[in-house]
Amino acid sequence: MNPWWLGLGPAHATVTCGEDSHRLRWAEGVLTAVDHDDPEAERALAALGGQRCTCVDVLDAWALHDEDPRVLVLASRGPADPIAAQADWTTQLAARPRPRAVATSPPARARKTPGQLLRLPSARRAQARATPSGWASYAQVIPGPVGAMPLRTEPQSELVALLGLGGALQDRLVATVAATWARRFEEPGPDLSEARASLTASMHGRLCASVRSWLGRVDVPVELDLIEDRRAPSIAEREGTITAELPFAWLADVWSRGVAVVFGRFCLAANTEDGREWTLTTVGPDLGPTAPVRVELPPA
Amino acid sequence: MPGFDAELYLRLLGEQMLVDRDDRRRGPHRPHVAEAAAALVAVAAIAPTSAERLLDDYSLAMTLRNDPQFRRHAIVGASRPSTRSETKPLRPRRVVPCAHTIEHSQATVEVRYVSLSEEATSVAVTWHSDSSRPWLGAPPSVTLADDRGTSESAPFTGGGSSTEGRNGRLTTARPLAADTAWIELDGVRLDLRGKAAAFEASVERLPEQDPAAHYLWHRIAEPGELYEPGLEPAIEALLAAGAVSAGDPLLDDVRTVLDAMQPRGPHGAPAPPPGLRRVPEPWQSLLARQSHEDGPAGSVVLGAVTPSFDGFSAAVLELQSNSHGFRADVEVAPGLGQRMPFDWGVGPRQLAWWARDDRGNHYLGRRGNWSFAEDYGHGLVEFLPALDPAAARLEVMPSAETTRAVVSFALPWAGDGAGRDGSDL
Repeated sequence: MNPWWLGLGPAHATVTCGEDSHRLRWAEGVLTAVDHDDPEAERALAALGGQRCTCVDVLDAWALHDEDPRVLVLASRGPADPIAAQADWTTQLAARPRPRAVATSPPARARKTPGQLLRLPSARRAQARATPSGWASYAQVIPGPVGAMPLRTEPQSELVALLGLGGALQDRLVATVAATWARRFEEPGPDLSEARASLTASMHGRLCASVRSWLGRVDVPVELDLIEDRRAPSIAEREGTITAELPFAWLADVWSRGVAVVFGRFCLAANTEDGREWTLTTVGPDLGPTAPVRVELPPA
Repeated sequence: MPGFDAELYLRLLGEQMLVDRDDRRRGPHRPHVAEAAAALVAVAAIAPTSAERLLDDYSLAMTLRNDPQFRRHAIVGASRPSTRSETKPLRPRRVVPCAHTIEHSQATVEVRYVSLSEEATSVAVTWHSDSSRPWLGAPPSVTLADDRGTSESAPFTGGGSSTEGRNGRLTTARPLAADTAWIELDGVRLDLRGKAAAFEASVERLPEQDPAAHYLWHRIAEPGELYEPGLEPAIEALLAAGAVSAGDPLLDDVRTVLDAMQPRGPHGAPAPPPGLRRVPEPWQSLLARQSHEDGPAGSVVLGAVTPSFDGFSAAVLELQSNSHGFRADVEVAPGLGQRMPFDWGVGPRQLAWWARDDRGNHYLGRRGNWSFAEDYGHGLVEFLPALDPAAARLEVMPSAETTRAVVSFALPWAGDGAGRDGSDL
């Protein structure tokens, strides 16, 4: 089985960490803080009352939300739906309470095999997914730059910080979440039951935006029929409505790689043996029969 | 509702909003997804927590697109309740009619009544600014004193225009003696010998109603929001959920009433559209008098406090009538019940303010000037249409989900005209 991140190039972002500009780098499914040799030590120091480290906070937030369906709800539906990240939203992370000194070491990056999806201890993931009861939050108002107005919940602040990173890191986070859930659609469990409506709707929004942009029909109704991986995907028009039969994996394999529309054709599936040569199953704007489009990526 | 996935339905509405960028056109108004969610919660198609969670998701999604400084979230977060269970019900208090005009240094102050309770002392006033010195700020704080020698400063809360006067209250932070024989307002003594009108206050259960019908009617009757009710998304959601059928005459009735209730006239009282189809009571009698402007002029001080109903308690302190309608000076606990702009939440729902007279007419109240905190609110409820001049008795009925309070009292101007100008109240 190919690693899920094949075809997704490295991505970089710069954040203000302390008084410096630091780099974050995503490659082969892993986010790293380039300018920090020992994030574990900095995390421990922050927990003991030392200065917070934005880079480490971002790593922690990423680890908490890299399979969070809310990422797909919040993030862009495509080029026509930009996120208005005019501010440094990582300031949201500073509005959170300090990590507890006894907290488990969250992103055990050193143990992560490239290409694998990181797994946090289940309790922390449950905490990250949990809906807060009532409206209580750490509502400490912090004066400062735009984007610093605290949100209602800690997970919201973390998600906002991640989605404001820029440098295609938002896209990589979306790809990570999509890939996780694509695998879970293959082996459905209780998690999927809980998240299915959210995931289905999030994919529908992206499909709708892609199809309307592709066909240049801004109001055309678009329906999505989620199918199993083994069935052949299709797209057709019936009584003025565009109906697509696609597996959830379309979101990870096609949309997240930015190939939903190539050469004016809509891509139903993307396959590769080696990560360099890709075969895209496509349909023309006449919604006729499928035809392959072959793409070869340059060497890494 | 077998086969209907309410969460998916709502999330697809959320997606449509994002893809269509619908929120930009709606501004602070509630989007379709929020209206639909509230309706589906009302018919138990989705749990309130699930609805709130997905609305939170899409609200934040829109914020990321349109409001990168998160100001909307700050507005909504500051206005949301923590809990409603801690609210103390309102307690009976001494309310004394006190028609008196005071020439203040900056204005003419028309005193209407005084309310004395164990928590606070307040004087209801209409503040007419000196026309030669148009006054731009809030009325100043005054000093109130009782016959025990206690004095307290009392700032003004309320609102209005400089032309019609500012209605509101001067309220002390600490109470004066509740049994004081007089009160002084900046040294001007007001005798408290009058008596409030007699009233009866009770609670009655609302008739059982289909949940979808109950939701739609209550939604129309809710007092004024910062947006108009958008019932079509709610109706579509109820249809999709199978909570109402497309041929149900309820939908025609609701749409007819909603259309007839749209403000058209200078006083917000539309003339009934020609050929208006009959609709169920209380709406039929309400719409039938919509264009009348024959209401009696007068006021009555009540000081009525209701028993608890559905976790609420209400006080009706005074009623003022004119040719266009009438208004009640009320208090409510808990105080929330006004959604702020950008708040997409599904609850809590508000009280609907109904009234009915002894001639079979019904009246509906909309919120006027209103101040509220989490556990307490007060202000004016403006009722339309005009009171039937032949009515001798009125019932004011703040209505919650399953019960309503009924404050019943005689209209003092009925019969002999006493109280028409309020001077002898």
